[in-house]
Amino acid sequence: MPVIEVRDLVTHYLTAQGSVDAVSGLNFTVEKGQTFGLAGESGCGKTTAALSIMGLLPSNGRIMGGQIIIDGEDLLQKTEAELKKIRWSKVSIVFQGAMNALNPVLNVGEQILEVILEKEDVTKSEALDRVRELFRLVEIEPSRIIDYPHEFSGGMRQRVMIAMALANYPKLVIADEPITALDVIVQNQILELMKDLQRKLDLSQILITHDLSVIAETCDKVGIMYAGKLVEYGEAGPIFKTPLHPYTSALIGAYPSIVGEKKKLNFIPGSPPNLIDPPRGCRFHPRCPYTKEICSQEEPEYREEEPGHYAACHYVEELRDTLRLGD
Amino acid sequence: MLKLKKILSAFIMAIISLSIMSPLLLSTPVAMATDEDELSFEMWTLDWDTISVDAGDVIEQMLRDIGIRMKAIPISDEVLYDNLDLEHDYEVYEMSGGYDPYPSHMTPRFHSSEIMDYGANDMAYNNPEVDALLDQANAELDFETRVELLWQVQDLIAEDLPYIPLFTSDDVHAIRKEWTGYVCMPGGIFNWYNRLTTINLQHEDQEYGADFIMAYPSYIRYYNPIMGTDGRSALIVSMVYDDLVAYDADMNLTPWLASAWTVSEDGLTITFTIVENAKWHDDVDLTAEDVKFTIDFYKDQDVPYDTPLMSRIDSVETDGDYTVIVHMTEPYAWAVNDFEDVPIMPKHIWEGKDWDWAVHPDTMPIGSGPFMWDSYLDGEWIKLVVNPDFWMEGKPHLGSFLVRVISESSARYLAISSGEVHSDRYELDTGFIDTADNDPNLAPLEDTWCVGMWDYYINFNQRTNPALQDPVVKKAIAHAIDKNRLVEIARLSYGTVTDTYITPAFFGPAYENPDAITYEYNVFLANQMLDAAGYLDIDADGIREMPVAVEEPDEETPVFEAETIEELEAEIASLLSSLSDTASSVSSLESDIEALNSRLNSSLNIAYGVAIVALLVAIIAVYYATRS
Amino acid sequence: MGFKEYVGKRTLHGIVTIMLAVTLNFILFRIMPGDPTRAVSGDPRVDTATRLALIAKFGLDRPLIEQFVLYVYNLLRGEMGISFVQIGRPVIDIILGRKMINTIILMGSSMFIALFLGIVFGVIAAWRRGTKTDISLIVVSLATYSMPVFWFGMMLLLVFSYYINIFPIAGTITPGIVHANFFEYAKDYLNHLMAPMITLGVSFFGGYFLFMRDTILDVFTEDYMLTARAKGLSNRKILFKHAMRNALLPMVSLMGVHVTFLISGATMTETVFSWDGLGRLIYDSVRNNDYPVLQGIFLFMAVLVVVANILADIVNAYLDPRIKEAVE
Repeated sequence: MPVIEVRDLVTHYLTAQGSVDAVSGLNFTVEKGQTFGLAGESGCGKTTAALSIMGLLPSNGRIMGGQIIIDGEDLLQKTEAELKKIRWSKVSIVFQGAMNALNPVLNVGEQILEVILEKEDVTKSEALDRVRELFRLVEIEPSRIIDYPHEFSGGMRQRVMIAMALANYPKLVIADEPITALDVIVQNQILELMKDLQRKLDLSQILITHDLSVIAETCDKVGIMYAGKLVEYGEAGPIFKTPLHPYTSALIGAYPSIVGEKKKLNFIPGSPPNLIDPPRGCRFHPRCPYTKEICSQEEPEYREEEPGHYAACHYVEELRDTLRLGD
Repeated sequence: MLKLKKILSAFIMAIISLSIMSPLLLSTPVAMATDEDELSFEMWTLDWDTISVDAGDVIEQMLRDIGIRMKAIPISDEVLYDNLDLEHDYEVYEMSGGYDPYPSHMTPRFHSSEIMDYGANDMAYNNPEVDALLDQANAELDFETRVELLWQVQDLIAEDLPYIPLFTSDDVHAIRKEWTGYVCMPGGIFNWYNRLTTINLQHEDQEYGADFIMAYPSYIRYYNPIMGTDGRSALIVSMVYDDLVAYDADMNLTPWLASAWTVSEDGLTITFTIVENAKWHDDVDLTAEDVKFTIDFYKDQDVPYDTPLMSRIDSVETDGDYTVIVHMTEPYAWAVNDFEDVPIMPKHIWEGKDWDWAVHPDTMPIGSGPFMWDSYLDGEWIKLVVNPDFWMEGKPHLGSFLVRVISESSARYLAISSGEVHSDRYELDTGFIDTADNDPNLAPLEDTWCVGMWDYYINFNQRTNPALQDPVVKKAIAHAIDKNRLVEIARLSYGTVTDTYITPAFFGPAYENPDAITYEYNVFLANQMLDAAGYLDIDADGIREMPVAVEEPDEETPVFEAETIEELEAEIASLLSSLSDTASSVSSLESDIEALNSRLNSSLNIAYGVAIVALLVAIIAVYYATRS
Repeated sequence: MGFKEYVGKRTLHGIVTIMLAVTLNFILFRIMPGDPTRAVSGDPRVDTATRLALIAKFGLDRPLIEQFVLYVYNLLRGEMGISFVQIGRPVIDIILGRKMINTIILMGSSMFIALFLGIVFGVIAAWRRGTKTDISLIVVSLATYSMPVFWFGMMLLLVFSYYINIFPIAGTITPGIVHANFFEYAKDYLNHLMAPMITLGVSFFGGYFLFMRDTILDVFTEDYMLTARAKGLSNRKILFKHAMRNALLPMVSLMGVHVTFLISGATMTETVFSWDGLGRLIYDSVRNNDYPVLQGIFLFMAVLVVVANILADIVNAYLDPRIKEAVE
């Protein structure tokens, strides 16, 4: 049984200008011990997807349809009180830039401690022991649990966040751009730590990032989002080797590989569409180098093109060879 | 270098901000000059005094009927009094003066010796004839002759008309209906010279021993009887201390601590007989020695109160325990009246003290009066209890008299109406009269109605606008004001119209002069007078203009043209009078220079002040600029 | 830099500020029109000789610069002079006495209530933003915020002291009676305190409420609030542990500045309810041009404001570990 299964998730934001279709039809599953990478440019709906799963959408966000199934239960059918219990004990989240994600006036130990005490029936000293253990796990001196967030460096803070995310030993951790704000060396350390922890704790992860190279490093499965829609989904290997969607291909070309050889960087001309009034047909067609007339008329079907490898493009077959990347 | 820049910029900022502030600081209110060719004046009223403001507005309307623009401008007392005291450049004001129980206001208001900074003759009225008559009246021992002298003074003033009496704002009190025995006296049922109310006041169900509570707008200021001259302290002082004499309900002098007195034929010796059973509140007997001590105390320490009396006392001696003989340096008509204002102080307590000894909190005031100090809470209340050994048989009726501070006038009224207190120290504000009239908890206002001590009048500054020096203009104004209407509007009819400078309704019928010069309400006559005097509305804007000035011929060196001795004498007399005119104009020039000097001084003071501020601001600016 | 040094430095700034305040209020009161001897002599009928004597007695006939030098000299010797109006009473006795205690009790209690209610309701309104609760709270607080204190006090007086007659009309204590014991005294005092306290509390409430609501709404947009919600904490913990603690920081700074408003509010309230405190002393002294007392009160107020600000900074440093570290 997968740890989480998301089916046809549709999330809109209601604004004065109209409804923003931030996520329209998201499907994925994450198996135990796996890492699922969700990639796409800023504003493509990745973070909205994460907030939808956590039930933390801002007040104007509405989940219009779909299912989010964790442990066989659909979160969207739950009451707020039930969700409160599920949060952090079953699924936790590491936010982008732990700089502001930690409360500046409480010491970090307290912030971890409170969630343990809130969710579990343990004594304070047991909980405190666990906080120390978590600190050791993320390789921070346990004595620093009484320090305040501002006394940590950026990387250390992210470690604290990770320790906090693991506080109730959840099965699933969502990491929303966990390393974006960090410098390169620290990024690597954090990624290594996350991989390490995943192995040790048999964790499932959803890694949300705009940086495909990170996904290439860490993920078992990948979903590529564009303008609120999943355009390609499948195992990491095939996607990076034989992307079936022009956007995926362009995205892969837009990032340097951390380990791979130097390549000429492509960049994708234009900018993501306004989701209040998305383009007709394929949402990527205004920026797609291979666009044809049909692309602006009909929306491409999201199909399983190869076993376990899904894509949404009118010209999968025609472009298959064009998009294949050299290894 | 950077630091220096910072300092400099801070300096510049400070100077800029100062230069913005300085016009605000330096602007002193000055009477605005109005169009000099028109009969157009500014009349100041006192902004917090609704009676003054309301009356001012009505007068402004009334004077439009005779083509005079009298712009009524409510102004704060600070500005107004500063002008009366020092600047002296207002044009007209309309407000109340305030009476003492005898017409002591005549000399300060009209005598030229009071034309000075802080002097009471605000308008600079200068008439040597009036001066002489006033001096004469003050020395005249015979009451009837004195009144006749004062009548003459009144007529002279009425001709020159430096001010127009309007009305007195009468005293109607809110007092709960269950209280009786209060005595109506000109000035109100509660007043410091109304000693009869406090000893006779009683509850309708309890002849003796009832507790009375009075609301005060703020706490009593003085425990020192000499300085307790403000109305609030004076009432308490008058209850705790005795004077030699008092007034009855008709404002005649009546015995008090002095059971009798005689004034010698020449007015130089006054003999008081003191009551024999008076005791101080600490059980010491009150004797003539205490009275002598009090007078000597005033004289020895140059106490600045009651100076008209004390400066004329030569010496005091006692004859036995109960007779005091006062020797005067000159006859003084109001000597006995003035003793009403001299609290007799216990020698055994005040000996060796300074006149401005605060008394409280060292000790509580000890007098011989009907009430004694009992307890107090500073800022909130004072409780007086009855003096069981009071020398007057059967008085007072009350058991205690509690003074309670309630700052806000509406709150005071509510407190009386609800019974939390029983009356107010002061008369009802005009705004509460209608409500009080219909309040079933209060005694009918008619019962408490006494002629008021606050006399409203229009005062014309004789220094400023030349039109205001012309009696015709002022007489026309006097004719054009319907005083009854003023009383109706400004005091809802609880007022008394005053036509003379010594109001008989207040001071007593003896001052009534049936032949006094008065100005009845007659707009037609007023207009005629102005027309005849050449004040015509030439530009037809509704406001009369000044008469076209006729070039006065240069006065040639006088040549004697007299042919007879009589004619010569007449000419010499006229020459002399023109000489004295010159002299008086020189003296007025001198006073002008003095006024200029004082203004220069005050501007210098302000300049100093600004300089100090600038210096301090600069120091602080430098401090802030240099700190890291 | 040590914490002690920090406090020392702040104190030094405070002294400079107080110096400025003292100078300004000396100059301003003398430049403004108005002659204290009018008030001292009580009635305009007091004769000229008396007035001149009093002017000389108070040194008001001397040049301004001389008066100022004398004033500063006396102040440095710890003397604030003698009241013009309550002759003979040293200013320091008038200010640092019962009046001060009355004012502190009135201001303290009403501020405490207003602050407590303002914070609690501010948090609730922010949490329920846009709901009926929020809107009705905003309407109420705007009404109390814009309501003149004086008027509201009069209304309370009329309703509760006159018609219903449950609160006394004036004063801090029932006059003329001796209380059996301290408990009786306290009961009487509290009974008198209620109406002015409600008046002042209500008038302060609106401002605190609106400020708190705004600050909390700001805090809600912070990332750590999202974290707190993601952690599935109870609403109470999210609001009062995570949001409020952060929102209190600007609130504390506001309190430091707010002291001056308290004093002006107290002046009005104390006048309406005849509460014998410093506020009414200001009112009376301004009316009577009692310079020495006014200078004394203003010095006191300047010290109060400066101390309040220093305290606010220290409390902030305590509440906010970032400042604390920067200080240390």
